Amino acid sequence: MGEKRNILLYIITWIAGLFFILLKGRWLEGLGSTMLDLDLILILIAYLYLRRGGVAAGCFAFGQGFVMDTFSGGFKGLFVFLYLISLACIALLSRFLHLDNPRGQVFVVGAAWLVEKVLFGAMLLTLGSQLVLEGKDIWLLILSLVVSAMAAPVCFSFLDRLKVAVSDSNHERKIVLEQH
Amino acid sequence: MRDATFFRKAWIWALFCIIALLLLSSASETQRQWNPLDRFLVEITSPIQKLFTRAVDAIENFWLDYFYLVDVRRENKELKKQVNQLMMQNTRYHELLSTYKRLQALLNFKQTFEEPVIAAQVIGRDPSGWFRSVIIDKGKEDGIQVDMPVVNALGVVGRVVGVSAHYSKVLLIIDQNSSVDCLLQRSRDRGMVKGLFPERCKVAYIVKSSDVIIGDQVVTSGLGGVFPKGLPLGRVIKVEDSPGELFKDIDMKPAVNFSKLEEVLVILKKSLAFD
Repeated sequence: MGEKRNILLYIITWIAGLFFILLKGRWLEGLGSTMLDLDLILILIAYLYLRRGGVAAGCFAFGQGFVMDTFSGGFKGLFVFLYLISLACIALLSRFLHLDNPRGQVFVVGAAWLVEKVLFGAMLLTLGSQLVLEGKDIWLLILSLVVSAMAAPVCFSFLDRLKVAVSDSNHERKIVLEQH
Repeated sequence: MRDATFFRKAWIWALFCIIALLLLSSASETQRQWNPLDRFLVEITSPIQKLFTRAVDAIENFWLDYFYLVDVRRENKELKKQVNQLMMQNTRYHELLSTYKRLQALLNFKQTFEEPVIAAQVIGRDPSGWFRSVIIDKGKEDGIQVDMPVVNALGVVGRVVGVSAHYSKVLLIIDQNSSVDCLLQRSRDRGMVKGLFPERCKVAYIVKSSDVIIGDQVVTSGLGGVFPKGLPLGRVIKVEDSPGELFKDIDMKPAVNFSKLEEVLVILKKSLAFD
């Protein structure tokens, strides 16, 4: 029964990721700047790595990257690669920083975000695109980094609570709460 | 003893009645003015009456005002509701009007093409935040193929880069991976429009000897096999002669406002680019 609930949570995470990707373009247009980039996918990858392990997080990173590639005008496989590298970064950093506590979540997600963006820029330059950034864009990117990192503990906590909510038996609930 | 008390009381009552009758009998039609006693009485009692009346008035007013305000509040709510409904209606009418205008312009534009065109609606935007593409609601089943040009009433939007049964992905001309062969309408110089972040384009490969000025119209050259000749791409907004460079540094503002892109036309023309 518990495993079924975990699968349900995994599916919810997938759906949330998909919705985020599908609505992100319009949302960014609405904000008036496409540089403001709260990367929820990265947070979800980190969460799944912590709670479901590397394979589940890897599948998620691959799948969401694929969807991102499909709906964006970029190179095929670019976001799959970026998200998988981000996962590797999260896996590496979680050996030194505790992904279980909010501080660790902030640092790991922040660092993964930074690595992803630097790699993204490097790949754009490598693949022959121009990288034009204005002064305002740098500030927006810094803001995005801070917001993404700070949003990580909030999302982790929300998903943990969701997990508790879908866990039906008291025993299971107790185990989940003890884990957190 | 009891009879004495009874008679005393009876006498008092009788006296009161007699006085009353005397007063009544003494009152006449002409004697309605207050006598000194009346005036004295009035002077003493009036302040009390005034106070009482005011208190009653105040309570009455408060009571009436309260109920009145309740009514006003209700009325206000109703009116606000009506205003909201009317505002929504108004917005809807404005939206319909602007849609009508856009579609009318699109229809007029459509009639200028010899090739068949199909109208499509933009349903999604690029999620990466870096690349510039849109998803439209027409696909292979509507006759759309890769590399078909996409335009709107203002000019060139982009070209189809991905097609599914019912949807297509359009790479906008402002994307860095996009290049369109162009012509400067006035000087007839040829170049290449390349996407430049954000919502700008670069007109590349314009030789230094060419006569380009700010405001020049840039149109498609028809070469490259994707876009028909003469479609507006945008206007020159910056011209610089950088020393040591072979070509002029020219920036162009696209004719299409990409942030307000809602409906587009796909020209159902088979691409000659790879033929």
